[in-house]
Amino acid sequence: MARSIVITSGKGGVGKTTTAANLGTALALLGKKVVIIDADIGLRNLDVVMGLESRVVFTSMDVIEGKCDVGKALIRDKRVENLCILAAAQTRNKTDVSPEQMSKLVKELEEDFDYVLIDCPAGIEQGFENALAGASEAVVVVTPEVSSIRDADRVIGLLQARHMENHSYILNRLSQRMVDRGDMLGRDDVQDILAIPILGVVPEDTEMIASTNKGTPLTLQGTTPAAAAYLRIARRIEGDDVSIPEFRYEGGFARVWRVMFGRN
Amino acid sequence: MKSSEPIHVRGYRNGLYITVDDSVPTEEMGDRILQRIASLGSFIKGAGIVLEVGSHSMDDDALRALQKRFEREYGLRITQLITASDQTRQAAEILRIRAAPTLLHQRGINNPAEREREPNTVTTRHTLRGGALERYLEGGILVMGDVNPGAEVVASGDVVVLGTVRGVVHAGAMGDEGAVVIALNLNATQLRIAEHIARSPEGGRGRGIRPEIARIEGGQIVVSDFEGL
Repeated sequence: MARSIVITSGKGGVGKTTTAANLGTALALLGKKVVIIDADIGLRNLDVVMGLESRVVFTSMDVIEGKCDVGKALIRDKRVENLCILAAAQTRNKTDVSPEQMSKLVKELEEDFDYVLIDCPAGIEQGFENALAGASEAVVVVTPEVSSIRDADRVIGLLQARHMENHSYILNRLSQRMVDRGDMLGRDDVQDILAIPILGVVPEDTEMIASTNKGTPLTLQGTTPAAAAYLRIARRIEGDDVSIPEFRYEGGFARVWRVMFGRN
Repeated sequence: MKSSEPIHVRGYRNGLYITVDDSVPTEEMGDRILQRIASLGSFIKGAGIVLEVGSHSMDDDALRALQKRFEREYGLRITQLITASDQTRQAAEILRIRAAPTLLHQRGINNPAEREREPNTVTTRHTLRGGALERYLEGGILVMGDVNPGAEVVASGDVVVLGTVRGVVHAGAMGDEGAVVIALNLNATQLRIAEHIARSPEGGRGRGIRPEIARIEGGQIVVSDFEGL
C-alpha cells in the first residue's frame, strides 16, 4: 500500500522543499520507490533544489489537463534509483488546480510508487488545500522560532479539522549551541506547544545551504549531521525504532574526531 | 429590569440576541442598535445575531441596508429575524435570512429568570490552536486542553482551562465583572475580564504547573494562586 505524505508548515522558508527533497532521497536510498510532487504551482523550487531544472519538460499541470500522461511528466533522478519528481507549472496559478484533480493525480501515482511526497506551498489558502487533498498523512516542518511554531500550530489545527489524524512534525535547523546559551527555543519548548508526535530533529547544518544551491540533496552526499538526521527520519517513517539523539554542540575536539573517523 | 430598555442585547450561543422595542422608531433602529453594540467592545466581531423586531415593518431595501451596516461596521450577520410583521418576514425571505414569529430552536432564552438559575457552560474537549476562536455568550467555557498563542476564548461567564493558557482569554465579555479565569498554567498573551485588560508580564512566567485565578479586584485584573473561590 503506497503512502502519500504532504510536507507542510504554514510559514515559508522553514525548509519544506529541502525536507521533501532530502526525505525523498533518503527513502529512495532505503530502496523504496519514491515520487515527490511539487505542489507549489507558480513558485516551483523542488526541481532546482534537486538539480533537475534543466530536465523539466512537462509539469503536473500538463498531466491534470490531459496534455500528457503521468509517466511522461515524471523526471527520474539518475543519481539514485527509484526516485522521481513531478514539477509544478511555473507560469500558472494555484487556483488553476482543484483539490479533486490533485487527489486524482496522487491516487494515480500511488499505483506505481511506495511513497508519494507532496511538497506543499507556504500559506493556508488554495495551494494548501490542493496539497492536502490527495495525502493521507502530514509532516509539519517547524523551525525553533516563535513565528514558525505559531504557524505550525495553526496548520496542525487545520489538519485536525480535516480529520487528517496521522500527522507529526520535524524540528528543523535546531542549533543546540544557541539552545544551550538560552537564545533558541529547545525541543521541549516546541513539544509543549505543538503536542503531537515528533518525527525527527534536523540540526542546523551549513552544508545544507551549499547542497541546496548546488542542486544535490545533502542526503546523497553522505554523513553530515543533517543528512544523517534525514536518513534516521526516513527509517522512522519506515517503522524502524530509531531514537532521536541529543545534538551536542561540537567544539574543536569533537569536530576533529568526527571529521577524522566519520562518526556522528 | 433590562427588558424595559428599548434596545436589549444579550448573549445567545456564540453571538447576540437583540430585541428592539416597538417604541423605537423603525428608521432609528440601525443607529440605536449600533450605538448599543459599540459599548460591548471588539470581541463581538464576526458574530451572528438574532434580531427580534416585534411589529417593526421593513421592506427588503431597508433590511438590506441594515444588514450592510452591521456587516461593514462590526462584521455581524443577522442569522435569524424574529418578527410579527408580514412585510418584514417577506423582506427576510428575499435576503435569505431565516425569519419566524418566535425563536427557532428555543432553549428557554425568552425566560431570563430561568437562565439565571441555570447558568450554562460549554466544554471544549481539545486544545485550541492558533486561529481558533471559541465564543460563548450565554455562560462559561471549559477547555480541556491548552489555549495556544493566536487562539481566543470569549465567554460571558467564567473561563476555566485545564491546561496552559498562552493565547487570549476574555471572561465576562458581556460586562460581568464578577467573572473569573482559572487555568492550570496561566501564561496568557492577554487577559480580559469585562472591560478590563491585562497583558502578560514581559518574559513569560515559567513553566511549572500552578493553578491560578484571575479576577477583578479594586478595578483591575489581579492574578493569584488558586486556592478555591
